[in-house]
Amino acid sequence: MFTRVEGLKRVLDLFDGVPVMVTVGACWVEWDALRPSDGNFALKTLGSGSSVGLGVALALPKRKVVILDGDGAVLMNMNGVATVGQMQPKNLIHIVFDNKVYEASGCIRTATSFNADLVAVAKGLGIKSAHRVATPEAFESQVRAAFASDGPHFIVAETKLSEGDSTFAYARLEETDNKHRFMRFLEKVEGRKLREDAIDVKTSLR
Amino acid sequence: MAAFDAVIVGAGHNALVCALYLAKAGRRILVLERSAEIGGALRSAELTLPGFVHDLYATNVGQFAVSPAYRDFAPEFAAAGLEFLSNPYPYATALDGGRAIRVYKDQALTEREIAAVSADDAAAWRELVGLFKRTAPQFLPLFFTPMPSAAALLRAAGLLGASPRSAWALRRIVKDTPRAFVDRRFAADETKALLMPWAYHMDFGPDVPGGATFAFVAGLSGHLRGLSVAKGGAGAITSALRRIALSLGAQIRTSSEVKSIRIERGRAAGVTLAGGETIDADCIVASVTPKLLFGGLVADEHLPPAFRRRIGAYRYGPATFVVHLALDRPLEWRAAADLAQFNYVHLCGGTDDIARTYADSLAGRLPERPVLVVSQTTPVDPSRAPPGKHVARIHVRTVPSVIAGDAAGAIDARSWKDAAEPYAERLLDLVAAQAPNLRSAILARRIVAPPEIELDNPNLVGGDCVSGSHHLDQNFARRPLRGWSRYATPIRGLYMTGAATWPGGGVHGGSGYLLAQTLLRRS
Repeated sequence: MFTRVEGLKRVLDLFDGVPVMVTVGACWVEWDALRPSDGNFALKTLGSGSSVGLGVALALPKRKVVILDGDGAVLMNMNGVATVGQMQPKNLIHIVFDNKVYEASGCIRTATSFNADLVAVAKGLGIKSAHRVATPEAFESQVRAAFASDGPHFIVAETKLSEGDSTFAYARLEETDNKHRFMRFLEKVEGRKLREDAIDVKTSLR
Repeated sequence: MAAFDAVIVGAGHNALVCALYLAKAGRRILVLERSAEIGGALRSAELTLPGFVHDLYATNVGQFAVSPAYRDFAPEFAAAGLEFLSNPYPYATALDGGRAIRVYKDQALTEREIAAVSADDAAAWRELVGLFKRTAPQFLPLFFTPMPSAAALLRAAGLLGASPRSAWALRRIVKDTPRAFVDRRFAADETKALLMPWAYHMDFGPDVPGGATFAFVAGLSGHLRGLSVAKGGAGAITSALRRIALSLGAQIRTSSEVKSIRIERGRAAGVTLAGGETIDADCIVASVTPKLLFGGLVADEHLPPAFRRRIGAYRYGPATFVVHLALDRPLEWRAAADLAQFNYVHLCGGTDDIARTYADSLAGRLPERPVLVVSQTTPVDPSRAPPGKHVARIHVRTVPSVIAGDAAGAIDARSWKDAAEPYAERLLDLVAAQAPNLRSAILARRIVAPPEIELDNPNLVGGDCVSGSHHLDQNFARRPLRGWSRYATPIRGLYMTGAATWPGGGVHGGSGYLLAQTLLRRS
């Protein structure tokens, strides 16, 4: 077992220009501190990672797209994983940090702390490259392999509880702002308009 | 030795200003912010459409440009790219019947405008401008002087010595109600409607003593200096403060909610975060409104009962309601084409309408025709929207936090969740009566009602955007309480800053600056 931060620090170099969908909670706080970027999209609705990530991956087929997710979130919206299995986006990497609890809401145990096996779930839903890792070294090599090969990839990382503060107060008024910045990030890295009706926006206002 | 010389709870602009001074003096500083974003009530975001930047709360930030913090860190702010912008069209009031009265930066132009409704008023205006110019150099620094203090007394004495007549006039203004202030000087309702809304930006109904100060200071400085915005958004000040604080070695942690302030043997010893983490510090600065600080972060048992009772009675003002607009083109005001250039256009009716709005807000009724501040920011700062597009904001002073009824008898909803949309429609109707192209120019809008304001920033209790009423019993040497206006608290090592402390709401960093001076002098 290792911490999310220990794992993510080892692979930070891979993330240049990579859009990352991040489940809110401590995971977002840690990731946003590790890689502050307009390319981080906060998934405020628990479990929407697989669905939003799939959409972004299908829209940008030549670019690796990463979801940083939690076990509780995946369990909340497993049908999104099924659709990933159906669509087979080659560029999607779904990383699930499995700490076996809903950490942000008082550490209530999730199904993975009982009998659920998310790797088996992903495989059963048609994602061939589904792996479990329990050490930072294994995490690093699996993520590097995922970046280097076609997916979809599904990596379940057995992680510890956060060491610091796990609460997260989302700045609600900035939600839309996050979306607009994320869109602009995508348009910038892609060097093209993503929506026909998109307003001609400047690259940076602040 | 504790890990930090000071832990600052909350990352509003006063907290950050305080952090700047302490860090510059070599202190080890940690700022803890509960929200994912720093800035408190000084933030901007693309709330509507991509590329349209809206100021969430504070927008007229000219006070910061003349504040000690800006002066003392001028090179750092310049390096951080902070710029203030203003134009020759500070504010105007749109009047019934599609007319308007405008205040330009240009004095002759303004006098001519006022003379069109009353020659006597134009003369009275000139006299008021004279009073402001004579006395401002003496009294404006009072806002950056501890209250009460020998320095404040000396300043007041200096004012008296320089011109007893001016000092007497000022003394009367400090105690005057907004209504008495304008009635004493002006004959025409139009002229009065220029200054009354400025008192109402705080929570001064026409008949509340002490409100004249705000009408006088904000109205006249707006006229002579113009209203200023921060280029790129009010959040640019926050970003600059963050950048400078970090460069001076201060640490800032977001999404880090302080659950309690640890007190050992009557002295603040550190903080405990929501996740259980504890951090020790020699001193704690709480940029937290009294309601959440005392009896919240600081348990009641640590507070003298008399203090607890008095601070528990600290009063918040009525709420704010905001509609942010992304516009396809400028508003076409019926009154005059150049009204689209004005930074603030007030819609307020007459003095009695404002009095009714105030009474309704206090009684829980949705005002029928509230005081509207229509901010048109893009003429001053075109970077706030894509080329040719505009942002505007309808800022409503005031509405009730909790709805008991509707003064117009049209909205049945008693929750803001259901009342926000129909109430926004009422506001749009009021503005559209003056600017008929309003609705067709709207590309997108974002409504922010009082509960959402408080949810976003719990220091804005009930949606009161200035963190507590500024009436005379809670201002000057009584902010937040008499005997506790100099940032100390009954707990040794625990200090307060923010809009609930002297010199109160507004973007000037005055409280953070004064507290930092106090702390640096002590150690």
